[in-house]
Amino acid sequence: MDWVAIGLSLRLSFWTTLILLLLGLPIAHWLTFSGWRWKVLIEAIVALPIVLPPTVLGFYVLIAIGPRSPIGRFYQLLTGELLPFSFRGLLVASVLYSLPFAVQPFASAFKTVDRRFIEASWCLGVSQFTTFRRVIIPLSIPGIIAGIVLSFAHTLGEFGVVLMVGGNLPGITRTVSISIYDEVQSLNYDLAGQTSLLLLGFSFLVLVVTYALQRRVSAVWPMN
Amino acid sequence: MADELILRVTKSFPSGVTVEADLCVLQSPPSVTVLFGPSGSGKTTLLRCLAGLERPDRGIIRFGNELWYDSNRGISLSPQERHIGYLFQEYALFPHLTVRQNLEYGLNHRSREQRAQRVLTLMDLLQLGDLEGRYPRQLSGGQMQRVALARALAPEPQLLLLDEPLSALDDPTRARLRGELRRLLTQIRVATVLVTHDRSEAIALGDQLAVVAGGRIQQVGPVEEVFRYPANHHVAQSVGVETVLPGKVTETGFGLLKVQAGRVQLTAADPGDIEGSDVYLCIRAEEVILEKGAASKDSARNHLHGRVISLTPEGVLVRVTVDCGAPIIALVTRQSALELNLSEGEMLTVVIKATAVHLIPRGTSANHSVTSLPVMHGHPTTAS
Repeated sequence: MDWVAIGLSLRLSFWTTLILLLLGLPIAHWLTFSGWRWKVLIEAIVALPIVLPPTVLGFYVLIAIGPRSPIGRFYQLLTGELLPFSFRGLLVASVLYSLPFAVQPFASAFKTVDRRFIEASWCLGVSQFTTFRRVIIPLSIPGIIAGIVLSFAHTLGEFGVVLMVGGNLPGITRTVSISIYDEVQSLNYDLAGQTSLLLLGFSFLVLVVTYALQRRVSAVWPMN
Repeated sequence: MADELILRVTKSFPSGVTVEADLCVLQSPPSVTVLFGPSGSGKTTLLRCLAGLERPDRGIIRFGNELWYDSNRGISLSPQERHIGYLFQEYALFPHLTVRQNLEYGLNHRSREQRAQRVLTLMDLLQLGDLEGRYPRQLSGGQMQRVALARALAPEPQLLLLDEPLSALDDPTRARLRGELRRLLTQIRVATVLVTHDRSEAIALGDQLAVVAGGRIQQVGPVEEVFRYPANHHVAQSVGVETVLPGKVTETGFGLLKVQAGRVQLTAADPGDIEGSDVYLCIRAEEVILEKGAASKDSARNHLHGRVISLTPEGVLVRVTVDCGAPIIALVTRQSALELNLSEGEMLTVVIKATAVHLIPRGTSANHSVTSLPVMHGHPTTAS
């Protein structure tokens, strides 16, 4: 089994999820509570990766972080390296690709928080940020866990974007799904089968744990 | 003026409903203002405007020297900046925090010792006993109400806003907590605005009564005045035709209470929840009987002699106000009025059964204890 690829995939999923947690929570908060008239545009942009073919997203990311784009040039100036076909470039693409899988569960969890809890907090003199931290997030734990798990699992299984942005460099950008594809290409069905089974088992386990956890959390904190 | 609460706002909703208010209450000494009216009349909207949770379209909100809202100057303070305490209808206790954590929630800026001290004071004031480790879902309705009140009071707000503080409770608990709440409000002496649709709650808890009907404050005044002189039919409809008199319990025994109201002494059935001597007497106008000529023998405990001050026809009924040392309102049929040949200035006898005198306890409040001499027979000021 291609342990290097499995390790790389886990690493990529971990960092993607962590970044999405830090990025997704404020975005979801803004999407839930902002009264801005054109909010729907941002909502659509965030949800775009769900409907877009991964190759299309990958293509644009590749162009955007390439050495000819301002972002790519700036990064090169800063670090002396190029983003495409590197782990960091892959990370950027992964974050964009899994963004809706974090933001949407977060936002729908925020929406279900009883408005009166938030207002009660304000009336007690507590700022909007602290209210977010001490009331909204704790009351949205099941949704936040769901968002974390979904982004992790989604990143673990990504293929098209990785191929476009990362290519197939062992230990750097060759993730599990690419590795399986490679094995099948070279007719190593046994190896591909083993890795696939592992991924299948892992995905199933993650979902079972999430659902079980959600049930327990909502039993502990009934949100009526 | 320094110690005034001014609420002069208009707010329209997309549904076409408009809520208007023009309210100005003195707050020295701090008093309890009741916004009273049927559900959907806009009371809660006004309370939310005061809290800063709702933004009016136009107007001004001022508390003492602080300008909270002024549409002309573009000023609108956030709820955080107003230093208020807000009690929500269903209490909105944070479900993920214990009672203690709920109480400490608004005390973030204080040191650990100060926080602990404040929580201790509040637990004591509201008799929260050993509830501090419990979660809200482990509390009864009455306990939740007290915890929510304690939480609202924790940061020492300058204005307390109570939205239907008792409506989420079952009947027996509500009756018990009504007295407790009044005692608490007079004890803490914080300016309070309270919203209710319940008449006995309004009478029991308020110093000032503001009647809200049809999205508008119809009348503001001391509780008994609003009941006695409804400014228009909206108010009359909301408050009902009823005599409301402040009084003092002077004697108890045999399940009866003797109550002095102005120059009138009345006997009332003991409702069993009277603590302290201050009460409001409420007598429904329909239950007052008028007699003329020699008093006949009957079972009613109260026979008062008085002079008819006014006669107002109200549909098939006539509203008769009789001065018996205090104005008592009777509602009789047109037929009876004709048969008795009633006219203004005439003397007659007002008959009221002891069970028709409904008493609402007021504890012994600071505002009404000016003449609180020891309660005994033959009150010196009332020898008549």
